[in-house]
Amino acid sequence: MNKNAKNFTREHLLYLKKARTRNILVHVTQVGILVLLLAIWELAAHLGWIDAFIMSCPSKIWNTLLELSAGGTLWYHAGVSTLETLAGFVIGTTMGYVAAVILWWNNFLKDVFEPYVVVLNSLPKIALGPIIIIWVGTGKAAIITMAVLISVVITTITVLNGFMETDKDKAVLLRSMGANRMQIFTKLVAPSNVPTLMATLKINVGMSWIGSIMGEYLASKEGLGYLLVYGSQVFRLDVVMTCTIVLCALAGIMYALVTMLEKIVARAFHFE
Amino acid sequence: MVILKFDKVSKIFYSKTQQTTAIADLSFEINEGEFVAIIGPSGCGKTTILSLVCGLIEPTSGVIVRASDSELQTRQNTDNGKTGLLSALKGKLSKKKSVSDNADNSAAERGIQTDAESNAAVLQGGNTQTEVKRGSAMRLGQKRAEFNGIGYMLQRDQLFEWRTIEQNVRLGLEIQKKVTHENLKAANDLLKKYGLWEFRKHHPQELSGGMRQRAALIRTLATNPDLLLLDEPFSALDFQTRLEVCDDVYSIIKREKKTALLVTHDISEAISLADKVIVLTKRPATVKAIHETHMENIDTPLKRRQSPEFSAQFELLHEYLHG
Repeated sequence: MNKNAKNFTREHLLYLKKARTRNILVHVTQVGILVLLLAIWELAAHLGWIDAFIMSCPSKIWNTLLELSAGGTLWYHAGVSTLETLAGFVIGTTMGYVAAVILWWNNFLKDVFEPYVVVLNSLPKIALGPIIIIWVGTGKAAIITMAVLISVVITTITVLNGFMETDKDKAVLLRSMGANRMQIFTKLVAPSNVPTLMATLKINVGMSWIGSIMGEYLASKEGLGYLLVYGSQVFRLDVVMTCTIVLCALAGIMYALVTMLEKIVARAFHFE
Repeated sequence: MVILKFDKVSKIFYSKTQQTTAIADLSFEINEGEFVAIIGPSGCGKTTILSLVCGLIEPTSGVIVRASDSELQTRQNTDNGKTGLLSALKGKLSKKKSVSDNADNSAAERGIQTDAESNAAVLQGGNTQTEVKRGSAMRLGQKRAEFNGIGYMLQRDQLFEWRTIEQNVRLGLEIQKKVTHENLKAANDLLKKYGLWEFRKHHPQELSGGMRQRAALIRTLATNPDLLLLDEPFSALDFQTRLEVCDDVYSIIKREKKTALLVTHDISEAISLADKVIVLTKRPATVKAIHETHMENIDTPLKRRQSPEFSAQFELLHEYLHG
């Protein structure tokens, strides 16, 4: 509660109460829809409207979740995927950011590399799968490479765009003070583009998950992507569904962490 | 003492399809302590003049002499030797600044630059030999530019929102690597003197437009420049605030005994602030008239606006500008 609450007028308190009620209603509805869908699914499977073997059902998924996690299998695979994703996320974002800095620094290089970046961006990175496997092998390295490839180009493009759109007048101000390019970067371009970096991190949560799961589809003996493919091959749809749900949860948690970081950074830099 | 001198300065911009002469044979002088305004029709190359004064771009021909240049000149005359020149250069040249605007015609300009440098030598008493040396030193570090003792105030306050007022004010000192105890004290004194001390830990977005403009002025003053450049500094403010901030800025500049060059399209602003108004022609800009306002006895811009001479001068300048 706001510490000024006691100074609020009655109308103001009423307004706050209304807003709070609406907020609660949104959450209740969200959960309600989920529960309803699960109930219909379960019911349909039990009554034979759908084939539980092909469509699976919530109770089977729940049992599989318990079964797989009891043996530690699920958490092992989830852990592997998470680590690969995190590695791809960190390496991809860092490399993309560094590339953006270099291209911002040198206009000549920027012009030279522009078509390359455009082509690399439009290229479906999955097409590089076979090459990656041949070059770096089939282990974790291949999967991390895939995650890096998917996030690095988009990072470069987004961050470079942000850099180029930095307030020109502020740069003129710094140059009139005698600033060199390094100082313009550290005093202006980097801090004013912190929001761009945060937006890129959010994009890259999704990108690196795509990369690592794709990589695991192509070649792997562990990870959620492997478990998904395995499940579908042996027609254990409950395993496939369980993996999908765990994946949703992991990606959601990672996104929430980045959002938290964004809020903290925004407060530190006064970007509200 | 002459703080800034433009001597037959021209600037041509090249593009793929055409070349544009932004200013042609522009000559004027600004003396220490003067408040000079430059007015001209819109698009007459005012921004080009400001960039030239700042050293962000180089003239295509002609010479620009700044206070710091002549200071360099006197220092090198008294030292009368290579080491003196070198130390003076070291003191005056900030590390490195890319002049990317210049990339278009830098090669062509380099030749003309040499002419310009030796011209400067002739102008300033003919010490050609050392002048050429200085020219070559400048060219060795092609991307090197010096901080020329100029404080630039742009149209908007351009305060950095992620820095507190105090940190914003220190920006110039950080850039010029002059964060010393006494410089910080001087900056703090300015904050105290002009009523921003209590707000030093605040961020710009928590301040009113007028206070932000004052903070921007203090940031400009913190590096102790010889010349203040004001590029329509009030244009982003609403009319009421504008009159107040105008008075505010004027009194601070006068109290700090600074020389100022205001560039504006607003005739009334020019008359109410300046001792001398330079009227430019439309592009290519050159001097059309120089008008002395003779209102030193009236101490605030607002009172000047209300004085009887004001409207007559306004008519006159309007005539120059549009006639």
